[in-house]
Amino acid sequence: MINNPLRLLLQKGSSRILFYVSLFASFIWTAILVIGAWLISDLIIAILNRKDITLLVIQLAVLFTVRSLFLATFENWTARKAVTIKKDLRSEVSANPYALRSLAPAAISNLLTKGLNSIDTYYGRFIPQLIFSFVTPTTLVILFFLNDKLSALIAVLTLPIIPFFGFLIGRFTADAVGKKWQTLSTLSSYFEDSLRGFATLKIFGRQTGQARRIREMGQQYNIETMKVLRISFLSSLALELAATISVALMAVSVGLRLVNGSIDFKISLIILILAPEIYFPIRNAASLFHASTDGTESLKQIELLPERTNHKKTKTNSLSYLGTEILKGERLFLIGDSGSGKTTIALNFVNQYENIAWIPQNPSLASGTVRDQFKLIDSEISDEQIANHLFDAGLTISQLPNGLDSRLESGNELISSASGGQIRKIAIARAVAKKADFIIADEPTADLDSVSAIRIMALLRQQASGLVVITHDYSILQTDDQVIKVGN
Amino acid sequence: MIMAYLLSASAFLSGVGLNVTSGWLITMASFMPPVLTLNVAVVMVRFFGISRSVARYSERIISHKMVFAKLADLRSDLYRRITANPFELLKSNRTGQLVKQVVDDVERSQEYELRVILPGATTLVTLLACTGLAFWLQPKIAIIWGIAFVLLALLIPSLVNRSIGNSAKRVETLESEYADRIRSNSHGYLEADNYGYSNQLLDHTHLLENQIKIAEIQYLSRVRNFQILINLIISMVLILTVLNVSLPAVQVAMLIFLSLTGFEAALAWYPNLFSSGKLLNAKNKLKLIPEVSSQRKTKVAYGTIKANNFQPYWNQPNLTPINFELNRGDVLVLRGRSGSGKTTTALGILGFLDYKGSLTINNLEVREIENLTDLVAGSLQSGHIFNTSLLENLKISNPSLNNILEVMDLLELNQLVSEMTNGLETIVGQYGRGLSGGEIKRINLARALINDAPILILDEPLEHLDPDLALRIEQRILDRYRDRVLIIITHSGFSGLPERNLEQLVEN
Repeated sequence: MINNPLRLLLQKGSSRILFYVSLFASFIWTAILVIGAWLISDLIIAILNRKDITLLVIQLAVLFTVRSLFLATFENWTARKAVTIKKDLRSEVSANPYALRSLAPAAISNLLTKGLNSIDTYYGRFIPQLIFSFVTPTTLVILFFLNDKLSALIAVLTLPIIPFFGFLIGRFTADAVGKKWQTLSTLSSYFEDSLRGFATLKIFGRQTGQARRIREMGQQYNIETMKVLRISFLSSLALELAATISVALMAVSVGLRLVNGSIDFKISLIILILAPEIYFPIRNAASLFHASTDGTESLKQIELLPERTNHKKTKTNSLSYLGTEILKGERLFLIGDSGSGKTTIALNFVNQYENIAWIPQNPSLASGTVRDQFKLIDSEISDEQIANHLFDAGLTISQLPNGLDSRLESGNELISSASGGQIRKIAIARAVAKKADFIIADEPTADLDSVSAIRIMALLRQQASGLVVITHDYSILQTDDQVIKVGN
Repeated sequence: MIMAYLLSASAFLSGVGLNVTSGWLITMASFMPPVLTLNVAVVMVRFFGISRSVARYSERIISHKMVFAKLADLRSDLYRRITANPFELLKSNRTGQLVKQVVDDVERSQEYELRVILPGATTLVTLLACTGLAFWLQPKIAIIWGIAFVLLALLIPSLVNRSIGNSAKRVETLESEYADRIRSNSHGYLEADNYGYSNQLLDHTHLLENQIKIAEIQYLSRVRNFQILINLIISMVLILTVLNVSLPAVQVAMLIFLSLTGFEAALAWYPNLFSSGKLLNAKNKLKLIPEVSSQRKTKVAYGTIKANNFQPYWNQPNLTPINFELNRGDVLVLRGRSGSGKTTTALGILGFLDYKGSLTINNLEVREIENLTDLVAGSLQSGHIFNTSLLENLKISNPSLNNILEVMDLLELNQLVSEMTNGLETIVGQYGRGLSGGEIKRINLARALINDAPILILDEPLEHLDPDLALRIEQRILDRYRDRVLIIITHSGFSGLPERNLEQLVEN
């Protein structure tokens, strides 16, 4: 429980400073505690003996002000540090296309938002508390030992109980937390699935049944969460009991010895005030441990994401598939049922070479206007040129709701201001406008009517780049085309 | 819930009791009284110690259980409300955002109860009890506690809500924008890379990441300011107590210990209150989803379906009006090129969209028919394949699956199914991944064809199929479904049948 987070912390350069600052702060904090206890017991004694307390009160007021400022500033500092670490992790993942594609879109965005937010607790509160829970008890026990050996002994005997409990409980919670994450992401995917397919459900009058099913899934999730929480509550019950009983033990022993007169009143007051502070940071760290497991869980998930490879794309003079090679200006048709791995062939080319324009099976355009799609490739391109490209692909400006200013959101599935066919036409026009050496078109005629399909194929055939068309549609083939059948 | 409040308050009060009696014990002890009196105090110290832990444990279990029980109901109610208003859902492509709303906001609004309302009530009770205790010991000190109570339990919380709430809301808004952005990047990054705008994409994304960071830091500094204020108030209580307290000694010690521990509940509550902006925001957003009462009031038996200048629309009618009158055995082909409004027309006839003109079944307007799904069924061009078994996907349309074998034959799906690892029980992956476009099309079509509704709407049923197969299926559908009304919306095939052309009105 203790080893692991510390190692992680020391590994990350940006977070090492968190460790040293927390270490430093924990000593200051302990000093504040001791001085505070000292002053309060002095005060009590002064009041009991009817002495002047003005100076003591001023000292206490100053100390308390320092304490509030120190605590608030330190907590603010660690929280800011956590925010910075979180931001760095986000930037790292969002710049890594392999990581982005390795999980379902909903899962990756969940990990980067909700998942990473649990780092706030982990770095911002758990790690500093962990360091406090080493420094404060140790220092206090040493102080106790110097003044009252019996109290120190009680503390030394009872202290290990807490981490021991913590360790035992931590081992059991680890599995449960994993399970909770699993159900959470299942629940989230299930909702996404239900909402995406809701039109289909409604056609058959099933949306009410789905609402019921969602309730059942939710109940399942609650049962899982309750399981984790019950362990967590039980563990904090155990920890708290151990701590309070230890404090009570110390208080009673000190009280009874006071009766004998074998202990100084001031020392016993100080011990009584400080006794809970020995257990408090450990208890706190232990209770945060459960909250922070979400943080470690998402850090683990982030570590599992594929790394960014620095492999550079190269230019190529020819594309070859199974020994058939095509040069610029030549055409190759790969034909076969979908599911026969045609899309993977396209991705292989796209990942290897830079002088390719790729028309995916489900094009996703950049968010922005229709004009932006072309400006992003060539900032000099004029509206007239864009209109010509679109026209060649069978789309006139007047068909778009706001002409070239019509907006598109990327990643759209069902309905947007443009229909599926229009998006494909824009994607094809964009590919031609790129003027790359090769065009790879994956099912370019899907969702198009026959007139549009003929037009698109004519456009692709007549442009100057080398062309690889991946399709299941025999009707677009011509007699002199080079054709390779893919799959069985 | 009241039970939970009381248990929670008693947990903190036990803590206060523990320390105050300890103070009493020690001060008493310093006067060396008979051991018997001390024993009472010793027992009390132990009692408070244990009761505090047990009370907190039971309170946590009870309150969490209750809140979670509400969770599931709230979720399904939300789904019902969201889908009762399909227009927004169909129109917005932000399904992802809706998912986030349902999963997250529900949890957050419940968390609001657990982490803000419950500990808030606890703080109120604890501070009141402490004030009462102070009054019992020395009324003068109770005034200090009274002021602290007003400040900490009433005044500052409302200030916190106003100032930090806004900050947290901003973080929240930015984060949900970021989630959308990541979702869309995950889908479109490779293409962006291919067309050379992945840098712009990244710049936008990093900009958002930075904005979130700045907003969070602003939020954190507001939190810090409040923390300092609260700590100063608590310190003031101790100092004022010390300055005003009077003998006997036992009371002095008890009152000082009271002011040292009496604020534990408040200190535990405030951090949650600081972060409650997000939670409250979620709770309010859920309330915004309207309860839609259906206009569909009337049940009707099957009868002629008649369109009279029928124009389904999203925002405003922009399709040329269509007219038809169909009975069992009739087939109508609505033919249109891409972008001519085929999907809109299909959604219109299926009752998803509002329309101008009239569309009636058995002389009743479609928008008023309660049992529309018994009368009209069909397949959409982009029908959804659910992430479950093939069988479950088909059962959506017809749980009895009485005619499934026949339909599988008709669509030549038998071979496909026999090649799958678990036959009909095979899980078809997320968004039907692992299936080809043509296979998805046929499963989608199978789902429509096993339905018993007298009117079938087929939107691009034969797209992605190889021409021979398409022709065979077309013939079989026309043969087998002669007892139904078939409305086929397509750009190709189905020639030689009655047709209407779909066109978009061109604006001038």
